[in-house]
Amino acid sequence: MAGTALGVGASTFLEVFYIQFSKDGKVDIFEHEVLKKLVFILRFGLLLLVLSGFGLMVLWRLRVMGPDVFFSARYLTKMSVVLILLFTAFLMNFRLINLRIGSAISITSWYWAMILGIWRNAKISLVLLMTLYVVSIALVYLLLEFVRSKTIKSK
Amino acid sequence: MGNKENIVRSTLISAGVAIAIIVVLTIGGELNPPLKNWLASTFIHNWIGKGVVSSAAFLLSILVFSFFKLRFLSLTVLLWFLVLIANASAAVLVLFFLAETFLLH
Amino acid sequence: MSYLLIFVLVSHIILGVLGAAFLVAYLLAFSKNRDDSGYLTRMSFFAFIAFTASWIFSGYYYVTYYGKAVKPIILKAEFSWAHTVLMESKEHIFLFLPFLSLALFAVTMVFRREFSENKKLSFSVVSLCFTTVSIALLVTIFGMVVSGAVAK
Repeated sequence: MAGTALGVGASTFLEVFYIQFSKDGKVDIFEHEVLKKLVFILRFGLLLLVLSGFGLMVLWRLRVMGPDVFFSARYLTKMSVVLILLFTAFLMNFRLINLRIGSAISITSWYWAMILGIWRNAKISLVLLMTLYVVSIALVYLLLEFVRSKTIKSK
Repeated sequence: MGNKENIVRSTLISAGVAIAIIVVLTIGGELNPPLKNWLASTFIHNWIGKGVVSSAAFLLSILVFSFFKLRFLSLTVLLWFLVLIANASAAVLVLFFLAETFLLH
Repeated sequence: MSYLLIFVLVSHIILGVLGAAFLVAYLLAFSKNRDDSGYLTRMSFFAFIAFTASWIFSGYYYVTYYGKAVKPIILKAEFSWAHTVLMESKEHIFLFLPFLSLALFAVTMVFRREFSENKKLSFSVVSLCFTTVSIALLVTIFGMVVSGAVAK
């Protein structure tokens, strides 16, 4: 949970501060340093999330929890979300993806990792969960674009 | 320096040879049980046998190729050769076991 | 399962993930044109050591315990393909990693000074590193699914 909390917090503030700092069309040295610190916290949160995920998986394996847990819709969705998050972070680092799309995927994935971590009694099918995830990425992208356009207009 | 560059080229070729041997031993062992049994009886377990044989082939291959002057072989081409062999071998193994599970039984 | 077997099971996971992490660090440093060229050599060397150590630990677990105690459970259960496809693929594909990481280490150690000038060479080195990371990730995912197929 610590990893998820750091990641959700850092990704949210990263988005908020980046939009705010971009208002004047440039990011100065101080603003760049702030964003760098948030990226560091985000990466640390991601590392914690991945390591704790492995730890949980090993515990389940030792307790022989079996397919009911490992192949549950909630767990499979969370694993997919984390893999997509890792892959998106990789692509964003090497500028192989549009950063606006990347940040929408990233922030949506962090919130989904948090929701799936808390919502232990989720009884929704895998297909529906993944569909909701993809739809929420699109909605978050549109929301961020709307906020960005309003912020630049208010300059 | 020339010798070091030659050894690096030999290493790239040998890594490809080792990977190819792993694939041959794996598929060969599944299709020809006596080979798998030989590996198991010689090396305690057939998986250990594949590791030992591929490692031995890797080292022998470096030794053999390091005697040749390999400067004419482009380093970039050798790297791409290894990338191709690794990806193709992984795909071949997965497809083989998929076929063995769902098509042949 | 004895404490020794738990130790080797957990160790092979940690070492495999570490190996992949060292190679991701290699890729990140490569993209930033780090002048500290010893860094790339160290990362590729540590990745080779991590994968080789994971090889040894996983081999011990596989040879002494998995075949007798875990494989029969998976084969009798609902997801028998987890062994016949995923475990069989994983245990053999995993053998590639020490060779690939050693090749990467060798190229980096001798030719690292040419990486910044020769774009074709640097792209092929990145491709080898990316292939190795992808194979490590594939092996990890297969392992997670195999773990899930072990039912009471």
